[in-house]
Amino acid sequence: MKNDKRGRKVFFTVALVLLFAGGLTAGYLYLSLGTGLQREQEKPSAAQVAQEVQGSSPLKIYYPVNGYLQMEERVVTPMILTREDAARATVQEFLKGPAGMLDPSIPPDTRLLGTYFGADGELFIDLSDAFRRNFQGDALTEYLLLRGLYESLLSNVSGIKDVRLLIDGNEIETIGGHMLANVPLGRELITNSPQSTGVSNAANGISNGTGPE
Amino acid sequence: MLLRKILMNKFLSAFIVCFAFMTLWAQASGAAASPGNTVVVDAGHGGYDAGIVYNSPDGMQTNEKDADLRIARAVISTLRAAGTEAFATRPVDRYMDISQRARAAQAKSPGLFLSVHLSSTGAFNIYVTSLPQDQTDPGQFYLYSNRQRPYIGESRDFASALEQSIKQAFPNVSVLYTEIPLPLLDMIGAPAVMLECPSPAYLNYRDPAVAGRIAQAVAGAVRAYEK
Repeated sequence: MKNDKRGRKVFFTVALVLLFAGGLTAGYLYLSLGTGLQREQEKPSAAQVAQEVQGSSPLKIYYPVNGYLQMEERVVTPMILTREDAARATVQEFLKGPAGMLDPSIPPDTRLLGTYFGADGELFIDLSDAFRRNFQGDALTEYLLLRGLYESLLSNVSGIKDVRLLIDGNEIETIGGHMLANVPLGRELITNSPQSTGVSNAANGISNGTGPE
Repeated sequence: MLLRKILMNKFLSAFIVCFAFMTLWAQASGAAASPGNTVVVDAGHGGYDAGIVYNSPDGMQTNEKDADLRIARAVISTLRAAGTEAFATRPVDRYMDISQRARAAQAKSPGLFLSVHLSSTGAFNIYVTSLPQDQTDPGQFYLYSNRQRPYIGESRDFASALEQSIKQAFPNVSVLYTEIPLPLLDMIGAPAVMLECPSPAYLNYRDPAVAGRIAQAVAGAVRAYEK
């Protein structure tokens, strides 16, 4: 009888200790997971970082990656004050290529030589000859390279009517032999929304292998 | 009465002769303008513009301009052997700009135009140009797109025939269809398609049989399109 009572007491004590330990573990797990999620949610955008870090500006850059245009947010210092600053910073970030890419479509060793606005609001981008000389790619790669540069400038620089490309200060006919580089890029690159699925995607720089039928 | 009969017979005979002549003439001129009768093949790049340069593990270098020219020559000789008139915009290794290529093609009044390039990937890429939305946009001046606009449907038909033919000839290789604005195709007043063959990393263009297989596939597509 006495042994029975002692056994019950031990059993309840052990159960209580296990319950307490379980509660502690569950509480710890809940708190640590919750904090992790919170941290994820609180991850600031490039714009927020730029707001917090005085003297910096956020930029949206469109890179050609595997047959698509991929947008990346970059924060640059010093603070962008003029349209020319914005154009320079955008092109410089574009030429750096997408983060973590081993084989970017951006021609290596290209330098920005200058930017200026023409009288009619066209933005002229003057790049070094490496942009043409070191380009290696097919028609879609060339299209996305020019489209990425154009979209990046349009996203970050206000009041652009169109974009024109110069190589070492001169107009050249083509960068890679498929697209014209001596015409305003917007006029050349922006076209209609064609009819079939494959066509529609392709017009946005995406090839999905769907036939033209 | 007799005079009237003779006159009627004369008029009738003249009418029949004229009708027969006009029918034959229309048929003859129709045949000359029928699509696919003359094919112009453009080998991409050339001269100092090597295009994609591929260095193989065995130390050999393949320049896109040479592979393009080899394929274009094979396509032309295959088409000619089948009785189709075929011409090259760039018969030798020399640089031509985009406008020069278009002028060389237009000079032959082509029924079909094919530009040959290499892809950066292991797939065949078939391109048709994508035309601007606003037909009143003065920017079209730059694109010459009004020349291609009436033929865009036929360009898609030829692209479709080419896609099928290449899939049959190379069953293990992907064939992708894409529409992007391509100025050379914009400038052509005929059904116009750009074909990119797989990168030299996937096909050995030093082997003449490869160009021959591609040429047979293109010739098959031309036949299918003409039908």
